[in-house]
Amino acid sequence: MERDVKVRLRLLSSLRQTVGESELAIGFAGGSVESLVKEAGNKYPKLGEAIFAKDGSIDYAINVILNGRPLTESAMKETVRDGDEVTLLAAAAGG
Amino acid sequence: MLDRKIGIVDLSRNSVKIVDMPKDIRAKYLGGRGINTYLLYKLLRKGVDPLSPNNVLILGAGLLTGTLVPNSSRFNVSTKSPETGFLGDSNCGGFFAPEMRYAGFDHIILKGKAKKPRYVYVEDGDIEIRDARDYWGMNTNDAQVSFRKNLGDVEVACCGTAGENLVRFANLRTGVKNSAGRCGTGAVMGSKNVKAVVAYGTMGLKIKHPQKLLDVVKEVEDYILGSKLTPILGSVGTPLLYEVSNELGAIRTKNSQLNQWSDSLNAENIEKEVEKMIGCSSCIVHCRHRNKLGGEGPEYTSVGLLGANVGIDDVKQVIELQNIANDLGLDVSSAGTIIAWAFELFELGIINEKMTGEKLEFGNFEQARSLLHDIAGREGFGDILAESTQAAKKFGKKSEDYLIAVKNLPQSDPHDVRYIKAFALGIATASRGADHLRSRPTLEIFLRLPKEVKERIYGKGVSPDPTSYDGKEKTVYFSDNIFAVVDCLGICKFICHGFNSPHFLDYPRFEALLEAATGMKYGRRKMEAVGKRVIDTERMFNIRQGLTRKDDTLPKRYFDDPMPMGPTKGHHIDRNEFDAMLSRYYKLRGWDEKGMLAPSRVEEIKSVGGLP
Repeated sequence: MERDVKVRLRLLSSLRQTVGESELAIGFAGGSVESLVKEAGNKYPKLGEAIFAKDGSIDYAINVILNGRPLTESAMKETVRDGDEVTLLAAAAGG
Repeated sequence: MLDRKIGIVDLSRNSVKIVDMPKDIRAKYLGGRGINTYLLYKLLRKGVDPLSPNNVLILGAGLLTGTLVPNSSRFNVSTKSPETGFLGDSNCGGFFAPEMRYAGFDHIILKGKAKKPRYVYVEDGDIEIRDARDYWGMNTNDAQVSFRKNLGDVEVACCGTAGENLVRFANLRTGVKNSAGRCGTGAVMGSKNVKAVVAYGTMGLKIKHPQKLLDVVKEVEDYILGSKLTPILGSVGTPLLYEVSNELGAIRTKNSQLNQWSDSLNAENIEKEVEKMIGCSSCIVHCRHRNKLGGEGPEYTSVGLLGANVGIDDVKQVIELQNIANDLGLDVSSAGTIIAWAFELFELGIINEKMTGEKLEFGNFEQARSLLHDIAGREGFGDILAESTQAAKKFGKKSEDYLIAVKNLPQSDPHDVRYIKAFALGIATASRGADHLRSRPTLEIFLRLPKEVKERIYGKGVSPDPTSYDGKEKTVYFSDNIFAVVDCLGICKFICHGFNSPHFLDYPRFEALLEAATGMKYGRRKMEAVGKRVIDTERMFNIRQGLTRKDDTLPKRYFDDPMPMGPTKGHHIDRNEFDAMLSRYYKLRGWDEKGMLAPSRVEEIKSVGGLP
């Protein structure tokens, strides 16, 4: 399968520690934001541990930002294009 | 568990009265914030000067505080706020409240004013009013060390020099960082010529069903520790939130002129200054840092408000400012907001060097540090800033347009609420003013949380879009109620459903813990009713002090100035949408269009009874 969609995947906050990098260059066969994030989680097991819920879905605590635009769950079906920047950010709260 | 007393300390008469907790008050309000609020409502009349002997200061432990229940360290300090003129109430962790309970007391009421500096000593069922001349003039760290040196292994809740000097956002501190930080509780203590309440106790709490409590606690601990979030909070603490808010473009920066700031304040840089992580009594999360500069923290609030909001991007400088504020006994939320307000007013020419004595500028660490000391000592321009939002009287009417406060309370949350509409409603309606710990529906920041999950938690019609106003009154309503309940129980919000995670403790687990510890059986409805009653009682207190619908609003900037940067660029609060959302919130609460309670509800609450 050709991996001709090049995506910049940024990992912020606690996710950065899972791969030891704040940014990954991902070659991707194409598809939705959701499929890209799942593929990254499967490729990097520690990242996967952090972002996947028990049922294998992407945990709701993971915020996803596509080219500077925060995504709602329905927007996770949007298609990733060559050169896109996808940011993963573990949401949390506190005082 | 239910045998702890109420101590009434009359400082003017130098007398102490000890009474039992009336059963009806216990049943209706459980403990902590709820009972404090009710007592405050009963004790204070309209128009009381908050810094006069007629005000009261109430320290009240949660009903489960001091037990094995995870994160049950909390107590509330309640008063009429000298900062706002409305309800003053602040929740605090640490080790003081369990000690106060072991010393025999759930609530201690300070009234009147001592002729000379005093401290209140509590030990095993007795209360003494003692000479505090040796401690007066000390800041919070030295005072606590001195009390321990002289009295042994006591726990102390004290004010610093800021409180002695009646700074309107002086706080009450216990330990190195824990504080009843908001609303000027320390100033009220100082106004009474009281330096501290000091506790030592050996009276254990008798648990109703010990084995059952052990079983429930074990299950709850496993549940909390099984969450992905717990180890993150336990290793990084709340500073991780800075990056979340900053990346979204929602970190209050330079008095909310901007909404993004430097990555240099990210948690990974703060970690370099951390010695270790520690916790409060019975805590299983351990979110607090012991920093290498001699203090504890910083929390997200300090990072945001003493960093981005005052234009400082150096981690060590932020930590130093926070350590200073903590030692002086100043609320970091108000300090960071008020200083940033003054900086912008100077930039705009609304105030000038004639008043300030020097050029004010964002990012000037030395200046910010000096201002903290000057505020606490009420020296020079610091004397004006010590008035908090009431400094607007000196700055002029135009200055109010740039003040990030609600109900006269500077906003505590470093998060810019123009983006997430439920956050905006939360700070607009919170009973003590602009604050995130009363009702912030934090799950709104989980941007991918689906509609069905949100509706399951909050009710039908809640939009999954955080920028939508639809149904958001329900998110605040739910959060208001459950946060009030945890404040009554004495449990930290960090393990409360809806504050940090959609998976933390909800009503059924609170019910199980309560029954095992006390034998009190509360179903979901009855427990939620406690939360509603607390909110209504706080509303009654505020209405008596003059609150109206116009006070449930937001800083002008949030309506009129769209966010200028990042993913949130262009977002602001629409006045009409906000107004409609506020009306829906009132309706949900059973309040009328003016935000007033039904007369029958007022009578119902008044009939709960008073102190013997």
